[in-house]
Amino acid sequence: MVKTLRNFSLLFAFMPLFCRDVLLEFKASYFYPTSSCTRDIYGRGGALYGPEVTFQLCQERNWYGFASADFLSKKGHSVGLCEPTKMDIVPLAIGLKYFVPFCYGDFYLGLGFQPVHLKTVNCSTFVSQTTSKWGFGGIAKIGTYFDLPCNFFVDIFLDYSFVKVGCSNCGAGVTPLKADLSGVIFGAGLGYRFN
Amino acid sequence: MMSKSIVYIISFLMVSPAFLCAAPANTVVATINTGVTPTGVAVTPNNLFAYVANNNNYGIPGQDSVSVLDLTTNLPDLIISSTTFNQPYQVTINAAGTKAYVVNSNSTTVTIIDIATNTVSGVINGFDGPSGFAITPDGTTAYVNNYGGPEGVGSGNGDTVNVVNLSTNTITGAPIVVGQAPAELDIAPNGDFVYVVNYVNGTPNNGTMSVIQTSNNTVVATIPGFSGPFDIDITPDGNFAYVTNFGSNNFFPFGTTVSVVDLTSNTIIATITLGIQPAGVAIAPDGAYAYVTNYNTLYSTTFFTSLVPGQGTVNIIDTASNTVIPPTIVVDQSPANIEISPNGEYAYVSNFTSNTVNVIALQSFQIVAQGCTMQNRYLTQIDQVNKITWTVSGTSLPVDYAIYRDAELTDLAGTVLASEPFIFLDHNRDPNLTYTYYIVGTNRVGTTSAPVAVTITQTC
Repeated sequence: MVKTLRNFSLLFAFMPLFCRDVLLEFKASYFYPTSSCTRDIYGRGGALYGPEVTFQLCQERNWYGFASADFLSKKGHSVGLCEPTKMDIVPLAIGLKYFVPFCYGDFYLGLGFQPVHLKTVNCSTFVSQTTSKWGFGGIAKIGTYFDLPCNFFVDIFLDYSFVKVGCSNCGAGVTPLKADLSGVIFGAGLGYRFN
Repeated sequence: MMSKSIVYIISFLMVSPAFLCAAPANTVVATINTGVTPTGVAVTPNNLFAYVANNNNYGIPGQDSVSVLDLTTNLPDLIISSTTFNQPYQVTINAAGTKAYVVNSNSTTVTIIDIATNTVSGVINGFDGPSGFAITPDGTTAYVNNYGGPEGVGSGNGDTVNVVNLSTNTITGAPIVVGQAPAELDIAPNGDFVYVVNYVNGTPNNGTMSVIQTSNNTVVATIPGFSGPFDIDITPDGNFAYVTNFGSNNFFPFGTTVSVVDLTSNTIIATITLGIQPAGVAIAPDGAYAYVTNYNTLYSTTFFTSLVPGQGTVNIIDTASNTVIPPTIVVDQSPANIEISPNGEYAYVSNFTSNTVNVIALQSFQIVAQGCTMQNRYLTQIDQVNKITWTVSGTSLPVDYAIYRDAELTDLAGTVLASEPFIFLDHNRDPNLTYTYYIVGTNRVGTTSAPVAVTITQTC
């Protein structure tokens, strides 16, 4: 995971050097899991936040690439015996956006590849108390950048993430499951446009 | 964890009347020597002592006595001898635990023992071969059945019950005429009626039960259909009486049954077959079981001169179904009577031929259990959990419960203390298998119950 994060960090750091139009923002959003099992354990979602960089691809006016890293931590209870559990999710994403300019900014659609790291801590001696594993899925994005003075902008977005993560080091005697971390993400970001 | 265990062990030692190794319920855990041919047994309300009438059926000089047994050590404490004893047959202790009344079956008297000093404090006269003594719940009155004795109409020829004022220790009123040879009597828990079993002559269906209304001391009903009725005990709720049909002690046929009498209709509603010559009967304090001694001593020759004691046993009757349930408990020879301690932990069986009292550890409680299976679901794993819950009723309830996964009780799944919720969770089970669990309770004196099986078939 550290290696992956490092690579993403490098991408974030160096991308503005090579591209004409670069948008760097910090997003705060709400993640609503579409899986009822996930909601039963961790409730109706939680806060997801993290940075995203969007950069214009070379010579192509409307096609942009994007990369993001977010973080969500949520406590819940197991279904059945109601024992405490906690999950930490780090969704990464990389993909393409298509920008449609309008008078106040840019409307965009996007699609990307999404690796997600899931770590769970379970307060039970009868299951694996800590699980940690990567899963892979995708993300679809729709949103609008509203231009603000001095190259600042506001990003209003709605994403749909579809990803499942299996169980690592599940002990004998338990039935492993694939965690369905799919869900709707809606929120806003505040950023700066380098161009 | 360790301190909890130590506290538990210390508390176990402190509250136990005797430090006994764990014993399965319904087994003999001790045998105590008594005097000659013990018959009646009574336990003090504090469960600490038993008084045993040594009937001295052989007439050995100086052997008419009452043995006092220390129930904390299960050893004889002392023997009370008195010239007032004359083939003492039954002992009855008042509710306060201050006096023991001993009926002298070969005379006309009842001897009163002061329990504090274990000395004879008085004698009540005017009976005729008394063989039973029952005290009303308010403690003011006693009823004594006259079986008949040598100083009166002769053994087996009596047909009366006397009423005794216990504040003056005198007989009051005229004798109440009942059936022939009243062998034993008992009083309803509310004190409204006295039930007297009349042995008559021991022939089948010849015995009767007389019902005396205590408000006016008159016989209000006579129930026929007994076969040499010998002993009676009434369920704690007062609804039923269990009567042993001893049958004839002098010729065949001998009895092999217990009659169950519905006391609301005064009719026999069930006849339960068990061992040979059912003699004593005692019902557990919670009313769940009746324990019956099978005397099993017969005359072998035509002239009935030779006693042949067989193996004495005790049968257990489930009072809910009126059926005999296992085990048959092997005791010493000629078990004549049985008494259960007020706390329901032990039964004391007097063995007429062996001159002993057997101590039987009882299952004084009932466990009712149920189970289901459930998923304890986390985000990436499921723990299949079997959940067993139970309730317990009775007396001297378990201090802990052990839950096993096999009928042989070798695969211990876990234990639950009585102070904890009665729930056991067995984790990491295979959802494709059917599990059966066996719950065993152990009470403070170390008596372990029969395992209660629970098969997991339902989802929680």
